[in-house]
Amino acid sequence: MKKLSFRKGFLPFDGLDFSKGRALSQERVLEHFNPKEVVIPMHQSIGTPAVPIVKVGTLVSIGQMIGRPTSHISVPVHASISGTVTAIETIRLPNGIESQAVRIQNDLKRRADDSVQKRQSPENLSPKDLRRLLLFSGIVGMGGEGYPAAAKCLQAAIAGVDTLYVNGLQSEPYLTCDIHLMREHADRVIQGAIALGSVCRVQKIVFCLQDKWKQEIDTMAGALERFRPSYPDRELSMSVFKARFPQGYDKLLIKAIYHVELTQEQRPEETVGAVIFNVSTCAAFWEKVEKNLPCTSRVVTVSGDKTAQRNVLVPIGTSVAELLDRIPGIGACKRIVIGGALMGVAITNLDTPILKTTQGITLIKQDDPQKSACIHCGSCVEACPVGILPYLCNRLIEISDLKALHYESIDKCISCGACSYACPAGIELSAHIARAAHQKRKEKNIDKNMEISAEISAEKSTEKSTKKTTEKKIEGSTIR
Amino acid sequence: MKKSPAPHIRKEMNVSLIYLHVLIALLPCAAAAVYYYGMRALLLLTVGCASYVISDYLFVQFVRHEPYVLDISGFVSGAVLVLILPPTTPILYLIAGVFFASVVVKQCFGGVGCNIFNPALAARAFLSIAFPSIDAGYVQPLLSPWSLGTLLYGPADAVSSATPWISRTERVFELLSGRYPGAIGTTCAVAIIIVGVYLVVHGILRPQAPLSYLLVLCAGYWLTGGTQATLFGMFYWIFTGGILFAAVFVMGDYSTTPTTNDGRLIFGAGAAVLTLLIRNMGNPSYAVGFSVLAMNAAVPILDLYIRPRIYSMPSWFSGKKKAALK
Repeated sequence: MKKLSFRKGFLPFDGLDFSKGRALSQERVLEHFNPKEVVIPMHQSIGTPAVPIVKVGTLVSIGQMIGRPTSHISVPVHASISGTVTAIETIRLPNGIESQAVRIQNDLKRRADDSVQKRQSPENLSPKDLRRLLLFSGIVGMGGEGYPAAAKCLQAAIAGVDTLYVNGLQSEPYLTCDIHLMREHADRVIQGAIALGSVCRVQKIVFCLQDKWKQEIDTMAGALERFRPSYPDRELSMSVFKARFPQGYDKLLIKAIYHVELTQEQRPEETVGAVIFNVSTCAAFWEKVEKNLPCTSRVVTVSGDKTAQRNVLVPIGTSVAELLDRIPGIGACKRIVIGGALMGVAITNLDTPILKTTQGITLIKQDDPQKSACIHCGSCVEACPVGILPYLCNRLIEISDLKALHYESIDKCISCGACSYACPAGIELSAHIARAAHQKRKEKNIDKNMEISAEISAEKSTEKSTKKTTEKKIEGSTIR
Repeated sequence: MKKSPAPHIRKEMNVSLIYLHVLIALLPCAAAAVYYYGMRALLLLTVGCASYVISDYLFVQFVRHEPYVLDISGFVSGAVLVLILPPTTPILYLIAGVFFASVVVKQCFGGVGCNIFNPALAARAFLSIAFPSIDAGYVQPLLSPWSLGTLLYGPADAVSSATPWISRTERVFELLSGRYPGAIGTTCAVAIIIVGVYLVVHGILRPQAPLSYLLVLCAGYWLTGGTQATLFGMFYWIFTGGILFAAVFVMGDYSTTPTTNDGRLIFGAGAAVLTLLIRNMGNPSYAVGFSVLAMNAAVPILDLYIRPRIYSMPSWFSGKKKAALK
């Protein structure tokens, strides 16, 4: 099978050399986990947060809706355990957003809501029914993107996409929750993808995997063979990708398949007619279709550079401290990271809850890098998947030469962390550049608004001379 | 628990380790130097490395007022400078060269990684111009009673050492082992090729610049040689004059070579063209040093203009042109 990958300029990145020699695929254990207490934030997706519809003292059960969506880019929130609501408070999430959260005390009965029942023939649901189910399932992009799945499907259907890609690339080191799902629950992933496909009105469904997961590729190929006869109108296939680091990033996935480079603003639905869903998202949707169970739990990887791999099924809202307490074999570590070791966020507050978008918890024991001056070695240039010169940008940021920085296209930075990882001098390239890039994107938006207002004023004025001056102004603003 | 920006893991490679690898790679060349020129080479190497680090220390401590961190790059530059000098260089001249390399070429430009010119090469050029007498100091190896070779095997036969190129097979042997008059550590081709491979395998040396340098030089030899060009002549052409040593240790220096692969190719090719010009029309003993120094000066320009294409932009040039046209 031909292996796909992004090409020149996107140089290989040996981000997986630290897990070499360790039989990760053998160490996977799935445990169901019952926490004492959960804190369920209302803001777990892109868009507007949900509004709590329970009060302190309300008795809730698994799958009961506790948060109502407020707009079409917003998802409902459901109770992940059964018990009593003890508080409704405001907490700060790892990405810095403040959100309302519902604290539920577990009664350890695992009482499911009345609506959670096994469906008789889940395969025969019409696309309309499936769309309604998706709307009330509370599913978001569980690969970390956090875009509400229902809104994405609607956009895809409007744009008229023809292919659905199931992203199982998970290129971050140590994280294997998606890989685990494909290995142990290939049926759920495939059926969920087919159901999502009928919501988006696509016939072609492609599963994307990295070439290093040989066992999983075999499992998925076998499962696809089994499902082909029961879905004769669908084209089910699989693509194998080279194992490289930011391959899981959806824009690089599109580049590897279509050789089209999407800018920050473009979405794959409109540009190439493809919609991408994560493996976990597909599996979660099949839970909803099969058992009418909304998104109340997810598979979370607990691992690290010196910690054995473990995948745990965790109710949404469980605190990191409680999860780590229950897992044996975790020694002292220097940093606890929500997400992967390369793009995750280090947390100091262990009461942070697990969200729908949390793929894993990475425990880092590696020391801080030895810091020294930049030796101009070019490792960062080789590592950068978007082709900027990180060492030069960092230098320009240091001396705050904004004029020169303007030509360096740092707003293309996807903050993947490859440059910092590769740097032998231990410079925080990625952090500095990501901050400057964020600022530049903001400025760009301000510039755009200024241009629009200048155009409006130009249209209003009838005199030609004033028009000319405003045009000059527009030009001036773009030169800057 | 600590809070720190992503990424949270790093490649197991740091600056000291890189320079340590280069220092290890210099050992075979230094060993060959001691074998051929004995105690004098050892003395020069010791004085060169020690005075380079001391000069770095003094500058950082008393001029820049910064805490000094021992950096192995000082040992590397000092050793490279000694290995490209003639064996009879007086110690005082060496110390003057080291001072020039450390203070003027490296520290005045901002220290490690900020220097534009390769310190060792610049100091070699400085010594050639300031003290032209040292260029007459090339002697036959294994003549000194204190060289390791004579200590091990007795004094060399005076007749064979006076006329080293007797038979064809012996010439090949001499060329590979480096037993002919030349700079202290640059003649032993076998040692340099082995350490070059070692550095490439460990990912320290990026092979683009050295390979393009050597290939363009070979092509140049066949073009300029005409009908007299032979295969042996080609190897003689690239193995002598310190070309191999410069390809491995000078073109592998990070701060004075471009950061992109295309830039490195152009750097090597440009240096080769200049070497050919100086060898054929100018003073052949300056060919390698001055051509590489000239290309060092072009590195900032190469870095700025030869760069990878930016994602979702047509090409860096056209993007820049558009911005300039607006």
